[in-house]
Amino acid sequence: MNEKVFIAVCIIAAIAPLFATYKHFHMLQQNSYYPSRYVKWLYDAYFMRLLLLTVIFCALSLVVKYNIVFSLIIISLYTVAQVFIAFYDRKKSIKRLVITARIKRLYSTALLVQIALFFATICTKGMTRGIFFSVLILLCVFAPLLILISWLITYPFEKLISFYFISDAKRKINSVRGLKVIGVTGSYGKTSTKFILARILSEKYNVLATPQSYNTPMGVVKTIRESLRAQTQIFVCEMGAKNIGDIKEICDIVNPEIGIISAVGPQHLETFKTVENVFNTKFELYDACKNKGGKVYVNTDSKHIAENLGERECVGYSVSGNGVYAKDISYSREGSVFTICFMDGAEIKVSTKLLGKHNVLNITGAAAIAYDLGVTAEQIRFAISHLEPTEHRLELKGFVNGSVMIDDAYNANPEGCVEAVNVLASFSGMQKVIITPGLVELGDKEYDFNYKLGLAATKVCDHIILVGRRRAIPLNDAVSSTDFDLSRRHIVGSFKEAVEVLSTFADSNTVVLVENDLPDNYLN
Amino acid sequence: MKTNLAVFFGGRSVEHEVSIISAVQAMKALDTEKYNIIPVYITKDAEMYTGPMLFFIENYRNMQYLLSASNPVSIVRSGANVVMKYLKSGFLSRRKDVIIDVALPIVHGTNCEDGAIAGFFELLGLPYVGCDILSAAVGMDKAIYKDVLKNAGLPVLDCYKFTSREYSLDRNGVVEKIISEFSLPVIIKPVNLGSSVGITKADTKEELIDAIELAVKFSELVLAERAVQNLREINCSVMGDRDECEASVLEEPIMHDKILSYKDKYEGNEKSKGMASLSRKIPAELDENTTDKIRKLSCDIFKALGCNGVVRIDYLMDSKTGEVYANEINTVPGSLSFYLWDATGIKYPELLDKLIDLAFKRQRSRENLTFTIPTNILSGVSFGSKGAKGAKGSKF
Repeated sequence: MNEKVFIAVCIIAAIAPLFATYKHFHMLQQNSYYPSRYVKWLYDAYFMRLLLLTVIFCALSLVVKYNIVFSLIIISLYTVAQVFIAFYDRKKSIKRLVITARIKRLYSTALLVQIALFFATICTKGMTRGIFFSVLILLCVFAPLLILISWLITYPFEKLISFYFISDAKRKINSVRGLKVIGVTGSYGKTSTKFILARILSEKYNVLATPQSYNTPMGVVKTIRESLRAQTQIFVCEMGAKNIGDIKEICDIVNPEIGIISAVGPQHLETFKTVENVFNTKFELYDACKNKGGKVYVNTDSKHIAENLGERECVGYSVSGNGVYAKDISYSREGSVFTICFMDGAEIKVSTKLLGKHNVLNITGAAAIAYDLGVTAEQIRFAISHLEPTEHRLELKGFVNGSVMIDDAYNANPEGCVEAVNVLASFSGMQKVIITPGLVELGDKEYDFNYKLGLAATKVCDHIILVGRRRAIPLNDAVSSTDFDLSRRHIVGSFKEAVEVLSTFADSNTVVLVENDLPDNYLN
Repeated sequence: MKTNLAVFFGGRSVEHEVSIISAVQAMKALDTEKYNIIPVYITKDAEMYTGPMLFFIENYRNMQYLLSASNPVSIVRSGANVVMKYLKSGFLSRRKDVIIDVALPIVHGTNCEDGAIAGFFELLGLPYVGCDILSAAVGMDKAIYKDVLKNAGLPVLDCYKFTSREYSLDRNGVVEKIISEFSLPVIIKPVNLGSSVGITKADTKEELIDAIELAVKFSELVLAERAVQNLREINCSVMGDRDECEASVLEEPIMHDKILSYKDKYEGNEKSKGMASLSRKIPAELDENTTDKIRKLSCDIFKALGCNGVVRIDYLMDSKTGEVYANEINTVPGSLSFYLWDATGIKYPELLDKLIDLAFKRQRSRENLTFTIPTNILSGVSFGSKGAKGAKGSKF
């Protein structure tokens, strides 16, 4: 083999791990740079593959005895495969790898380690070209190890950086005079609650809220360092938790005075083990606020909160008459209308484009805080009437023949689905239609759940349009088992056909729930 | 941490010097515990300078030295912030950009107060104190301003508007028209200048011609209106926004000339104190009813124009009949009318705090509106069959 080919192969071999590590860095980032979580993922998703690759490689090596041409082919194939995987991963993932400064540091470290190993191999005594190439292949196959090595090398440095960032954020938050910090946490609903709260408070105050669903310590620190200004009066800080102590960690940085806990439920049980642990973690916010002499608002409709609350002094909010509560909830084509009753007896009638009980609850909690912070009834009413729904989440829209659509296309969880049907049911005096292919990816429970959804739909709807002949079988079974008029049940092949069917009977007095409309690959 | 407050003043205007006086006053009054004050001086050539020397009025005597000792800057958007960039770097180091949180424009007259500087801030997306583009522009144009008030049912004097071209083509016609419509004496004004520049009262036909000749030097559009008899001038300041505003106590300036002239206002006894040093009575000696009427009227005018921040509205009053007419509005009043608010019970630092709060309030309500649609419409467009491939970015 001539020198040129040799050098070319060396370069390819050096580049290959760069692509091979892409997915792994992505996963490390998604696991918040916890190596333990990354290793768990690696074990779950990668171990078998790794084992298989090693066995195949060893077997082939024995057969061809460190053949250079063979090594060359393997390395090339491997590189091509890794390039493909990296691009595929980037294209497919909902949340891509974000090239942060930290990722750059990790990547460069990995590269340096790779180069070091490469030269170490070259300089080893008694190295033949055959063995050399085999080692190169091994380096490729074990690229994931590079991740852990570079994580370990950069760890002390990263600790130092994050220590600096955190103390800088603390210093900044303490230097803003009169700043009030409101912590928002909960197993679900915290992001919506945060946005609603920030919107209402902005009627009276300069408000900073953590953007999107930033809710980790470093996300909070980043928000403070980049966006907190001297004129900020209120900082609304979302706090997420996957482990015991996570909320306390954020509280130690931001020192909240007011807290709101939107719900406690069986989320992240793989790390929390029990719902009690979830409760205790969320209530780390309570301890922090009480230390500062502040108030904590909790959703008392959340079963796990009401049961575990004990002696703690909280302001409750609900749709069931406890604490600050919403009453007279009604839905129409304009949205929801309800009355919020405050602790001092004041009542504010509000209307919003947002639909569903969870939204009413989130709005009520946010309004309770705003009211106590001196936002006037008029300002609260104005802000609530200007809230915008999240796209495709119980979003009201105009539809064919002047009918109204409740677009719940992105909803894919059973409870949300039940709530959507409840919302549809509350449009009294209107012709009700559901368009749905049913839910997917629910595993064993898929048939049962869709069957129940079908039964619920027969009780509420005047027309049922099932999308996808095969997918809709459980729903159809449910509909057929009742005395629902089958001439009002329509089975169609696509959403487009559903709209055609709908337009034959829809009028301005029709409300259409579009539930979990799926991309076409699930259909037929 | 302090709020970075940029005070803009000067500008390409005949009232350049007045603006400097007002701004230096304001910068002295601002609470330095709360604000990090950044002076931004706009020269008559529209260059911007910053530097510590700009805080002191004495330094403006030697302009050449002042500018050489200050730093030329530009104000630009950079990511999520609006920053002040130094155009010249230091001896060894590059000066760091300064984030600006809010702007306080204290500029008078054309090219600034007329909405131009508001437009500059709007373009950058920088919160700023005072009227927005439209209310400032309407406030500057005396003719349009009258139209708006008239339409809102508020009392203004009728006027006759003509261009300098119309006048030069038919001098007699214009003069006759004015005399027949209003009968002498009349007031002649250029439509778009503040601070009484070019305004004359004419008792005779000869004076009228001189008055018009003077006015056309300043503006292409001139207006004539009846001179109010037994004239008393009354001024009132209003502060707030469209939702909520309040009126100050009233003042009555003491007139030296037939009309309070630019000379009286700014070149009076103590030159460096501007509007604040003018001889005047505060509060104006008026009965309670008239006072309340004028204060209410002031709020109505403020809202009709959609003003924000602090303005001063000047009235013409016939002391015999008691009739009151809204004369001009100053959307950036000299000395920000602090002396009126001081007499109302609000000290200057507190007034400035309120104005800055109003700037943030307006910014908040704007941010709650939708200005941009998050998706890029162009991203889905195919530019012909070849371009469609190019749009994916693979052909560059």
